[in-house]
Amino acid sequence: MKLGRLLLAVLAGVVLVDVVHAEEIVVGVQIPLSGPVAAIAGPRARHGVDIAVQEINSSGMLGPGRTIKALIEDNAGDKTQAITLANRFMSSDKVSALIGVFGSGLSVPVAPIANDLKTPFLAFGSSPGIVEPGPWGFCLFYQSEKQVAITSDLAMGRLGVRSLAIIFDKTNDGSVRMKNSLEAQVRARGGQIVSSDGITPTDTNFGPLATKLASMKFDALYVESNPAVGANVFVQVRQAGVGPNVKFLGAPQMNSPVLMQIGGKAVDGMFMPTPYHAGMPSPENKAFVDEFRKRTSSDPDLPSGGYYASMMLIAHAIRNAGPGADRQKIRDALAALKNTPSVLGQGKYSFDVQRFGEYQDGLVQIADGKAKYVPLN
Amino acid sequence: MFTQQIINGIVTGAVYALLALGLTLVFGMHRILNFAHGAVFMWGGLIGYYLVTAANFPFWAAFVCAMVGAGLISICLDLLVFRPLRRRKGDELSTIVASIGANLVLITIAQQVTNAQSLRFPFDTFPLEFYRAYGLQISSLQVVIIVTVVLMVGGLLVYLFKTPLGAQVRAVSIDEPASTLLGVNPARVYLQTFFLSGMLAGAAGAIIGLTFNSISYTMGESLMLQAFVVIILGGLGSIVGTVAAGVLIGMIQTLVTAYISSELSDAILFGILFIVLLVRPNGIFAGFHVEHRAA
Amino acid sequence: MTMLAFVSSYTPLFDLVLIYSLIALSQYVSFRGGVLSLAPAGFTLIGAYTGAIMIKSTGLGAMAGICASIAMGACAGLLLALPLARLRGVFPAIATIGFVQIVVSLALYAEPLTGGAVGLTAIPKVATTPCLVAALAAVVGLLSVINRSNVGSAFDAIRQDVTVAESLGIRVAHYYRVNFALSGAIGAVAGCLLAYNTYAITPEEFGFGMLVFAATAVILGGRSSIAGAIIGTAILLVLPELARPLHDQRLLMQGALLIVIITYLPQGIVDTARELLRQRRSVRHPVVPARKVAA
Repeated sequence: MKLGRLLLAVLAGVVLVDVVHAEEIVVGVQIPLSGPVAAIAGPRARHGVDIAVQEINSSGMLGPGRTIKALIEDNAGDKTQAITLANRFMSSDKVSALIGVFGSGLSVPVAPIANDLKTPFLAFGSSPGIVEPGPWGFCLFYQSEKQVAITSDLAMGRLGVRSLAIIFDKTNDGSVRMKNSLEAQVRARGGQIVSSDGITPTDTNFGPLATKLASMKFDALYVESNPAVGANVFVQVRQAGVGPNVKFLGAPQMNSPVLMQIGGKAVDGMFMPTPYHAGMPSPENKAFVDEFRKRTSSDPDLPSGGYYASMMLIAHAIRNAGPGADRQKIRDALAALKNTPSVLGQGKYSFDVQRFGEYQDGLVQIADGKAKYVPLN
Repeated sequence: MFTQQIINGIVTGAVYALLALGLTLVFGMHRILNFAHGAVFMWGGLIGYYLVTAANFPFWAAFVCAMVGAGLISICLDLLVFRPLRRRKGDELSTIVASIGANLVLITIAQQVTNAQSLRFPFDTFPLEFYRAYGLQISSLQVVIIVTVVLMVGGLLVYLFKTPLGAQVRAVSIDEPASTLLGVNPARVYLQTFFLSGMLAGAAGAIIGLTFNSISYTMGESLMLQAFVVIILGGLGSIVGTVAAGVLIGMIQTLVTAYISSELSDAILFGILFIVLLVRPNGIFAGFHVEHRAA
Repeated sequence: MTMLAFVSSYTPLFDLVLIYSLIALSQYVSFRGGVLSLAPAGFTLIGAYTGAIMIKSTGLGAMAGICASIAMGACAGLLLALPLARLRGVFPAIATIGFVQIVVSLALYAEPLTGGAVGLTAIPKVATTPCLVAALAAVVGLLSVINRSNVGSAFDAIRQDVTVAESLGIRVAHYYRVNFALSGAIGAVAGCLLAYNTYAITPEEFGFGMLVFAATAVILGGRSSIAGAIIGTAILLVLPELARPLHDQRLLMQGALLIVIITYLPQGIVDTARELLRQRRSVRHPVVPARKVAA
């Protein structure tokens, strides 16, 4: 009898504690797992999210009884599906926040939805169209102009470049914005743009373009495209006879093991500024990279690092917002993040007043087929 | 630079010709516009890649197997997709639509098999050498492309015009019911043409994947539209016309990219297509079929 | 989950079904008139950009944008009809595919006007669900009237057999132009509403993918009925939502569906259903010939 009542009391206590403290916060994640950009983002980004969720829950960083759950769905890189998914996440699944939605082409149409449905939205992008519709949209990365300033500084300052040739992805809006900013910045500093050519991500024959470049004189070539295509461009440009004293500069998105796999010797000596690299020395990153290696036997790249960082930032916001926080509180906590530890950049992340990310890029140079992290100065 | 670009143009043209040959063969013989041709081409490249990397085949062996494999895939296309349609008297639109569907299926399978990654043959797969003279250069791989096209075209012409099998193919293309009266089995002829078409595509896939350092599930898509322009310009069903048109288109694209703008090259290409359709829809060379124009 | 939450979370999907039905109807018009055109995606792009530029740069409001889109679409259709009227078979198909590629390339290139790859954003959302329902109803009404009129009969005749239609005195070239203009106008309206509903447009969304979608929707639903285009659209848009657990298999299923439907159910779902209903009705109420009375 006594045992029975004791058992009942314990059971009641457990149930009560559970009811009082258990809080599972659902975060919606959109990843292009299929479709045209799946090769770049896709499955690796998913690992980034999974590792983040595991770490958040096992470390108990949200507080007692609070766990996070990621609702991961594939938007196939398609605008229609991104919009439908965003609506579903925010209306019926009642997520506390949405992250991912890779690229501005998809994030910009989702931003007004996030504002209508008042859900914090941390986009994997850098377009002003994400933050303009209202206070609920955040850009993980900073504006293209600022990103590309690092490249123009590097080129015209440290590397003494006076003339630049550019090859960019004409179908990608982020790429086009970077190209426009770079041209403006180089010219403003007295440099010369000798040529500016658009390619598409499905091109493979760069013979004509490479031959054209080989007939011109310039100090550096900047390629703004995804790693596989960019590497191929560099290979064929070298084959066409562009000399070894022409410096190669790459876009942040080219930062991936694929670059070396496809580029081989042609990409040795190349510089890339990047918000994320597996070699960045912060302790958070070391732990993340180890775990990523365990799961995939490869190193994380920009998408995987970016998705991991996004999840962690939301987790910090959720923690700061306190137990039982609603979407408004989470949004405010997100906007208020200052010097939060993160795997991005030099390890500290904030949001600026316009809700773009604030962090310090790192610099990577390829040497002997390996991407070495190099101090920015 | 101009002469070097001419060389580039010939190589690019040979690429288009390689891809377009199989397409024009099937269209010329059977009036089937096979949208899945690009996918067969891509699978040729993939088979070659996996044989070299996973099974350690030397390139020439992988190349031959890629051709055969692609030919087999092409036969499956005929058996599973086009033949049932023929039996049900499907019209031209149905064939186009069905081949678009088949294309989707083949591409998504490839996407999953490759995990959507872009692959390249290992760096030592083929000895890459550069021959330089008079300020021009051509690589061993570029030479291989040109030689391959020449051999393929030669072989195809010999097959079609000098062998009894080829005669059967031509008979079926001119008048299928009449040819059955003469004892030809059209079903087998279709299989042959599809196998040949697939072989050509597979060879193209392996060579192009090697030369341009890229094999991915999308590699057929971007080239298919150029291939369509080439087969129309060259005259549907004309082998020689296709090669000539391929080289011409390759040249135009190269020169536009080099001297005007790479962004406009697509628009210019399709502009040319329109003009050709307006002025000379039968192409440079009359093929085995002449489109009837109503009034 | 409350009914309200359900409806509000699926409203955008419903909106998209309405808009894409219009694109499919533009395609339906072509097929109905025997025109092998795959141009609707291009008309949609023209309409979308016209509408977006109108509403953003002029103060004239949404209706002006819609009217301008209709005009631009109809003009584009007429421009296409001129060269293509004399061609038959697969030529218009290839040419219209080329047309779609050209407009996408031009949209990418004309950065000052179209925003290039970045596209146009911050388009006010003026096309809400009631507006879309009204637009679809209007187009459906218009097409029903046309179908019953001389124009509709002419389309039917031309679709069945062009030569016979000519011999019956039907001015084929004239109706060809009407068909293209109509298809262009409807496609453009769809594009304009797309811009006014989804806040941002980029050239990429109007390419080959949308072309395939329009053709698939009409083929799936049925080429001879207006309802067919709408049902086909609904199936294609809702299926990925239901098939979500199957992730990458989505495209594979669409491809396989295309092949299966065009081969075994070539009339499409709606038309086959109608046919079955009609047969069943005639079985139940057979027409009994009057008994002949012996003289």
